[in-house]
Amino acid sequence: MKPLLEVHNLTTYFYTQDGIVKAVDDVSYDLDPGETIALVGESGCGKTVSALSIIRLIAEPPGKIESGEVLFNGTDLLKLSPDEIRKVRGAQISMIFQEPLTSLNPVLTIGRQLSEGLESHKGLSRGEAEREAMNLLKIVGIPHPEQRVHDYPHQFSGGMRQRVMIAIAIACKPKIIIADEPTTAVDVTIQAQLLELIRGISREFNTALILITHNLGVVARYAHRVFVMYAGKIVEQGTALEVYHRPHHPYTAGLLASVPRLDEPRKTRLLPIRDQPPDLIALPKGCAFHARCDYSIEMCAQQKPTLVQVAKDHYSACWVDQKGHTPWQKKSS
Amino acid sequence: MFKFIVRRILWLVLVLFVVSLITFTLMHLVPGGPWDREKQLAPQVVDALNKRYGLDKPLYEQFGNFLWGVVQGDLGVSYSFQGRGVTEILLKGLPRTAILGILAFILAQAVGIPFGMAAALKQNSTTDYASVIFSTIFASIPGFVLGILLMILFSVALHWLPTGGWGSPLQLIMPVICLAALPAAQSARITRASTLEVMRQDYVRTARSKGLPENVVRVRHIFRNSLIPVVTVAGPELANLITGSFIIENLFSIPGVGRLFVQGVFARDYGLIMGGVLFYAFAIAILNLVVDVLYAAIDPRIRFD
Repeated sequence: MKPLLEVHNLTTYFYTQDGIVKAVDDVSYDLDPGETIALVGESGCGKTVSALSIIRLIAEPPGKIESGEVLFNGTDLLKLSPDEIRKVRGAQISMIFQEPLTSLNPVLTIGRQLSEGLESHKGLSRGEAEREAMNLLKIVGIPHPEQRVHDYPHQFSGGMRQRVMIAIAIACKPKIIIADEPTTAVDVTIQAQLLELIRGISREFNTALILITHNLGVVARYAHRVFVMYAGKIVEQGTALEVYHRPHHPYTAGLLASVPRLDEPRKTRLLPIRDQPPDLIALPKGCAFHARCDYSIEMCAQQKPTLVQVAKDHYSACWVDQKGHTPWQKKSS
Repeated sequence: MFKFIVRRILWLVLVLFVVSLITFTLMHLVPGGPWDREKQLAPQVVDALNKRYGLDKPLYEQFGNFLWGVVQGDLGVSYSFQGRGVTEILLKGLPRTAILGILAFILAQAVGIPFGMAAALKQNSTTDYASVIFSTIFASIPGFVLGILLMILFSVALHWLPTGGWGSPLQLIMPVICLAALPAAQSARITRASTLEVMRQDYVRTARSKGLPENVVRVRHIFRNSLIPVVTVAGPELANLITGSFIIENLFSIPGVGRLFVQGVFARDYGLIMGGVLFYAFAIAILNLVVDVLYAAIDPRIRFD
């Protein structure tokens, strides 16, 4: 099967007063129709920028997509004219943003914010678009949609607003939804509901999903494949099951160890990864993770590791791993 | 909303009372009176005038009489305009001042808002720098200086425009420009700043992610939000302009409310001063109320409770 979306060697830099921020550096991934992939990593590792670059929502300046290609059904999105990429946004590829509180326009009704995309892409009349807006609100589980379409964002709770954001994202039945930490800003009790809703919709409409998250629990439950990002690069990729049970990169193992688990003895302490991620303006010469890594060897500080296949559909960029040692993997699992 | 308006009008009555009381007190504290002339009037004449206008009565009674007149819609009589009613005098000057003020307001917003928007959309471009430079200049030059400079250029040097007076549209051009300069500069600066801020908001990115045409993103998502602070400032600006400018009306010899009021103060015309102050207070309060009500129409988050 031909992938729906292929990202090849995507590189996005930000030109700031302090220097060039290499937010996304030579990143490649692909997505099949209806598949869910996860981009995982700490804040500021380039996951959001790599996703925003796909539909060219990077603010230019200061940002700039330096190189690479983004093939969507064979068309390179990075080569389209502004008007052509506009017709892809919302209609073919849409986004759910992290902050439902600030991502909705405060002076427009919910109905208007849902209907405008439909009018623009599907050529619906105002009345038809409004009826469709009510229908979308019903799909995402908002009670009394016929009344709520006339309400403004401030009359909705955070969880309800994120449902509205989901409704906006699915309005034109896109092929791909990019969900950028869709549950970070909402109550824990609502998070699971929203993720189930997103998964249900993606199954119903056969929509592929790019899930951006730092929550590995979410990854294990919802994603087919995982791409672990660190300092603008993919350091490990594989099926969710593989990466979760046999991490081949110490960073992935570190992320897993810092997630609380219910199936472990309560006295087990969480192990945070020490120190802070490196400055993306001045990256170290070798592996970007070596300074925080407990297993680093001399080579790590000298040369950048590249992604190497370690198992079927499983790749990792780690010198230690490539020497055949994986001391971070738990013996039991 | 009805309750809100009623409450504001009740407050207005109190404000007007306090304004009258303060003006009345200050007016009588200032040395001199309406009958002071370069050539002294005979004491009998002054006594007769005082008696005729009720100025021989105790101050509290004079104030009471004034208030009673106001309640009946009569702002009293002018002493310098040969006993004509203050209401009548103000109503005669008002249309001139209002035309001047409204034209200046329209000019200020028509220039300031688009200029500010263009500057923000092309931040750090020539347009942007030009807007910052011009708005700084026009915000700092006092109206009378600008007025004199315009007169030197257009009246003295080029003979294109008359230096003042009232009656022909040509006579409006310079005073309108002088009045509009400061509010235009302010609107441009506020529009620029708020547009720059709104452009960075998450909901603008959401609008772009929906694939809306760029002009829809700008008009519906950016400008609608960036104009909210502009309206806030435009309200008092409008009140300020409509109630006239003492300086500009004097400079261009326009017989509007502002000039009348200045004449009244110099002549210690008690009637005209009281009437004028009350009129200003009333106009500013009402215009602010109108703006507050309009405000809710733009921003749905604002509710009257």
